Amino acid sequence: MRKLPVSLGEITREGIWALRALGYSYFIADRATRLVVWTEAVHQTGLKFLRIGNEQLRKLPKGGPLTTVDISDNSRLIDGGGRSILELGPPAIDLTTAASRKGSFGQSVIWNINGLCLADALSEIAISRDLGVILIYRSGMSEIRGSQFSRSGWLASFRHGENLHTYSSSLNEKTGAYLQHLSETALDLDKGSVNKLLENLNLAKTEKAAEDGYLSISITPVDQNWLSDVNEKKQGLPEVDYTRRLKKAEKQGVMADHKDFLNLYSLEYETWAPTSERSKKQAAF
Amino acid sequence: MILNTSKNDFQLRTNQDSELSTCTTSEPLTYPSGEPPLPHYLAQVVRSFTGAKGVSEVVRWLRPPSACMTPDALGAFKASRVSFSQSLARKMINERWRIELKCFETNQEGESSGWYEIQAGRHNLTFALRSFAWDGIEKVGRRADGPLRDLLGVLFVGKASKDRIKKELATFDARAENELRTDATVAGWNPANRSVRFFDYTVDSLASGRQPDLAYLASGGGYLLRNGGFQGSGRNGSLSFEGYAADHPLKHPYFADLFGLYMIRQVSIDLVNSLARERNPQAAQLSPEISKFIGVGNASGQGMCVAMQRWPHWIASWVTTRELCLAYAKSKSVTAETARTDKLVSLISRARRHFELVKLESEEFVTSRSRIASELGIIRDWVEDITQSLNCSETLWGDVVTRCEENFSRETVEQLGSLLIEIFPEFADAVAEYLPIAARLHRDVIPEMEVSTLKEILRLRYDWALRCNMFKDGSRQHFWYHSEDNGEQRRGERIIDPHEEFESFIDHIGAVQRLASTLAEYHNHCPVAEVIADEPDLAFIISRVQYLANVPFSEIRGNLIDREFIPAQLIRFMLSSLGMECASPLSVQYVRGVFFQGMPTSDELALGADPDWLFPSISKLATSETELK
Repeated sequence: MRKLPVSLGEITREGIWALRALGYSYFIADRATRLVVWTEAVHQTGLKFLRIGNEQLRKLPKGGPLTTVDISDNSRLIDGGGRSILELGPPAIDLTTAASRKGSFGQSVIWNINGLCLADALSEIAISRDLGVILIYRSGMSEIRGSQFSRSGWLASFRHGENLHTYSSSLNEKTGAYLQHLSETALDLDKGSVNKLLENLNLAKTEKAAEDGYLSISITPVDQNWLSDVNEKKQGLPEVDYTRRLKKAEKQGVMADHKDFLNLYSLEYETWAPTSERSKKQAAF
Repeated sequence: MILNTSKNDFQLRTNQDSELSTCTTSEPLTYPSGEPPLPHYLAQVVRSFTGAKGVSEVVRWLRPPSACMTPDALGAFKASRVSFSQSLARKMINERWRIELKCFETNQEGESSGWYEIQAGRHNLTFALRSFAWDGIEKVGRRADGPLRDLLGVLFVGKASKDRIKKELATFDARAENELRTDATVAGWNPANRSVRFFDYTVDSLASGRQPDLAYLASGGGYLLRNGGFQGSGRNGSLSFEGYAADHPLKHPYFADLFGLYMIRQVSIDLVNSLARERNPQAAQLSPEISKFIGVGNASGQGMCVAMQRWPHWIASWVTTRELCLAYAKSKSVTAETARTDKLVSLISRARRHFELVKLESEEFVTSRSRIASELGIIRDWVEDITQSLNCSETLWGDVVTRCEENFSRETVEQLGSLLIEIFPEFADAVAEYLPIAARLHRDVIPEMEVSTLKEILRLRYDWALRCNMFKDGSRQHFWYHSEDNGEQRRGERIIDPHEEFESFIDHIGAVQRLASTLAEYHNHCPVAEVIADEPDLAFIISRVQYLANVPFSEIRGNLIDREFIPAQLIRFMLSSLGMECASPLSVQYVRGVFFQGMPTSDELALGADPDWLFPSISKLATSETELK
């Protein structure tokens, strides 16, 4: 398979227009592009998602508010209406951030959502706000499918000083123990919050989640003092170094499949207006 | 981040670093106009020069945004010591960058290739070029041209091997834009085109064994090659800005672009010498004096307006640095330091001669250079009169500027401002260090902010936008779009032109008004996250208003989609911020000008060049050349 180097700056620049071709407004694409860039840098699947999902993304429902089905105790239940994470993810992180800053632990659960192979990228928004974040997701039946796309998984990430600690894997029998350990140690969640988190994990294992698509977002402030002995607390956890991958991609670019690369540009070209004599006049002196 | 105003103080939480945070001492540097305090870094600089007591003397001379942030006002700005090309030039001169021509080959068809090795402080760079046989067609020099240029330069990050250079130059065989690819070892490409009038004339002169007539060269701006953009910062697979090491000399906004531009200027000199020698082994070579006078042309289009709207904190930092330097100069006495006054008189004289001799291709939309020259002459006389009067110690530079504002054109006054900044170089150089710091500012939503706070920010910072009548005839006439001509940004008319659904973001006033109208429906204590959940589209403008809340000079105060808006004004502003001289709009959407005119050549840099290179004294040179002829 032919590959070629592509820079993150290039994906950022062209990605906004590619998403617009797929039907997203400039304002949605502005935030969503970062999910594609981050995923390409860290998992090398961002551009592939746009290619494989090209037709499906066009057809997905778009626009309108995030529909809150239920809200209580800094927790929110959202019906995604079959829309993609490109559109639902960043506002959901905003809602959960606001809840967290109000009550120390906030969570949002979204049903009926697509594009979950980009879910890990949402963590970057929370981390940039100096918050700890836990994501649990499972793809539904109508999900955009690619052989390299993660179908289910979890991610916990928080910053300790200059260091970013991130733990992640697919959902399996150990996930509950990992999340409980992290919640009770590094993230220092109270018992009620830990229970909510484990409840979210159980929801991800239901048939409904496998049918509709499911994402839970939990956000909490991080007590830097408590984290002083974080290294002792991470024994056995599936740690991943996404920071290093991101830095490497910034410095060297990424090697993208030629087909994925061509798709990015062909989407952008859809947003270019046909040349007219009126238009060409502007290219003269 | 803190938004300090006379009536309200509210804490805004962000993750910005300390240099970007606003001044939070008991004596905030608040503008008279109610603008937010200076960023911490700049506040420190002011204090270090004035002491705590002198701060208010500087701050009181800061202009309100209403006076300097309209498109007309911005379009009058002139390049100054805090412009990017001048900052880069200082670095190159101070660090004695070594630029060594390693190879330059030219054939009889006029095709050339070559490369240079560059020692930039502790870092290596390589610049390679390939020029094509002249096809007799002058290129506009815009994105629409794609790779169809007379010359393409490539700037490598590091020392490139011969094989790597050869491979890169072979890339340019592909004459279709979408086939041109590179990788992260490359900072970017500099496409360039010949000046039809002056390139061949110069080669002919040299081949005939004589120097070109400098006065004639000056009549066209004084350049041989005209750069047409910089395809870097990730474009075509090149290195993203984020990928530079923290200590790399190109890890500074626009330094990669501008160094490539400087190299095109150097190439233009070596290229005409080489072509002349190819034609006649006894050909003359450009004299050091004329080489130094040669600048590099640049052509820029209206896509710049879209870029400026996308990165408003960049604009803010350019204006803030310049305005602060100007305010500092204005707060000083005309006669407190004779050497500075003498320097200003000398600079005015040089600028005046430059304005008289270097002609623009068009003076539509601008103040004529002859008028600016004439007004500068009067200002010089005023300054000399003041220094000779008895009560001169009471006169501040700000008083002189005020008098000029009452009597002269805006462009003349801005040129005077740039010269005033030049006579306080130590302050300007300290302030210019803020530019890369400011570029780090990151836009994000502050989701927990209450609606009442956001409304208050709108009231305090966007009153001008909320008052703008967007319903009058022509107020929404235009939209910007990418055309099929290699994606070049063009301006269309709503209803008449197609593709409005893919318009580029440029209507900041419309977005602010929509936000204000939406917020009216929400309870004051509601977090803005709820607003975004209801209208996810608003996240963009909410984050923009939030992150600019404490940024002085943060928005262009004009309606860019209005029928009357002239894109050339903002293009001129951006180009002057980059350091362009002689910015000449050839149409409402296309501006040409020249960079690095008078800047030491590569030979001079290595020897330790004179940093005082602005407005080269060409009248003397022109005379001598005329005599030589």
